[in-house]
Amino acid sequence: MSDTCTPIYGLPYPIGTSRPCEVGATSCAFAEAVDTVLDSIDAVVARTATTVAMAKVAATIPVVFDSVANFSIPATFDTVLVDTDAMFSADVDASLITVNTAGLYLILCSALCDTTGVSGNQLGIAPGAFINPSAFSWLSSTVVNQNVQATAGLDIYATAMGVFPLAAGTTIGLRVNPYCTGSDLVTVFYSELAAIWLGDL
Amino acid sequence: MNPIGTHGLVCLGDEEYAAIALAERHNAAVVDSTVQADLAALAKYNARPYVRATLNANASGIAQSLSDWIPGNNLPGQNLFNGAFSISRIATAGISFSGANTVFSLWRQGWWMVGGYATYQCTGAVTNLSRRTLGIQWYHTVNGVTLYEANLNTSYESNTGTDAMTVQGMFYADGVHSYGADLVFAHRNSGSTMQVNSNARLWMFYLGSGVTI
Repeated sequence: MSDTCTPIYGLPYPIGTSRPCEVGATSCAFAEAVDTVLDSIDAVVARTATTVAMAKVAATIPVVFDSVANFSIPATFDTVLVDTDAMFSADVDASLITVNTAGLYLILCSALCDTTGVSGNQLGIAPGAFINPSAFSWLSSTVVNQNVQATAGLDIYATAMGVFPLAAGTTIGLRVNPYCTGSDLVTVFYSELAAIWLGDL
Repeated sequence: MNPIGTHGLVCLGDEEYAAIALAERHNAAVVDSTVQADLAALAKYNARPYVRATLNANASGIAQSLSDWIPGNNLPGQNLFNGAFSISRIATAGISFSGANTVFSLWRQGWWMVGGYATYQCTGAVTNLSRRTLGIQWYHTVNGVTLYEANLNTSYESNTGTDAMTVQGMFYADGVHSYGADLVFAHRNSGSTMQVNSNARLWMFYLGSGVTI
């Protein structure tokens, strides 16, 4: 029996000298090849139209920082808002999202903090997602806001986002960077981190 | 005939050539329905909704707002899209627009990326180091109670009175209730009112259903 196949997907088909009694070999090879092609299409549908890999986690327990300037603290997440790809496990590490599906990712983070202080004091926050704990890749430059209220603190808010190519296994975290002076306090009362798959690498 | 793979395809054994027509018809039908379903799903994914509202005229006379946002409540400040605005849209079936207090309202279940942008300036005296806040407000009403979420950004004016800011957030719609999105500006410039310039923008893009893989 002498068969050939299509140039793109390699779908086999019989030619004129093929013997009818040997139809089984070509038939099975054809069905298997078609099944493989359909599997590959299904895989694209599964990671796009069916759902995309995404996770959004939040730290909702307020953390108070006292009279310390320019330091960086990893946020510890206690709330999972969405996780379609088993990207977050508080049991493994509550400060990290792990990429399981390689691709281009939109990384989004935000934080809200409360402050005390008086005119002229600097009270700020700088959320920035990082790629792997040992290799920082900040989404935002330092956001240091000044509080000029005479008697009461003001809330400070910050959001940042960026797009990164990430391999499977890459971890993403959020560093909160409170900045205060004197006896002032910064209370980070909410922060969140999200990673959304945008496309293949 | 023998089943092959995971899509319901079949193949013939040797000496089963009498069933060629039957097997080919069966496989053709399987391929037809599978490819059609996949293409429909991909076409829907490819045409995810996007919408953008652009402020047509300056929003002027915005007085300072003294209160901070209390999570879960309405954002203090001025909703920028309570005046005239223009809309750019792609595949926005299920999204409606209102100039009253809501720019967008939608019903499609899933996660949405929402962003805003504005430039602004003081209309008179500049209060040094006073705060500006640009926020996205995302809300829906359940049993007569309106629930608010928000993402905000903050900057502090140094001395010129003119600046710009962006803000982004990722929000969820349950597919049952109507959700609204606003862009809200607030400031503490006590020396004068402020103006948000025309072309401030609020945009929204559908990310996906959030169904677990």
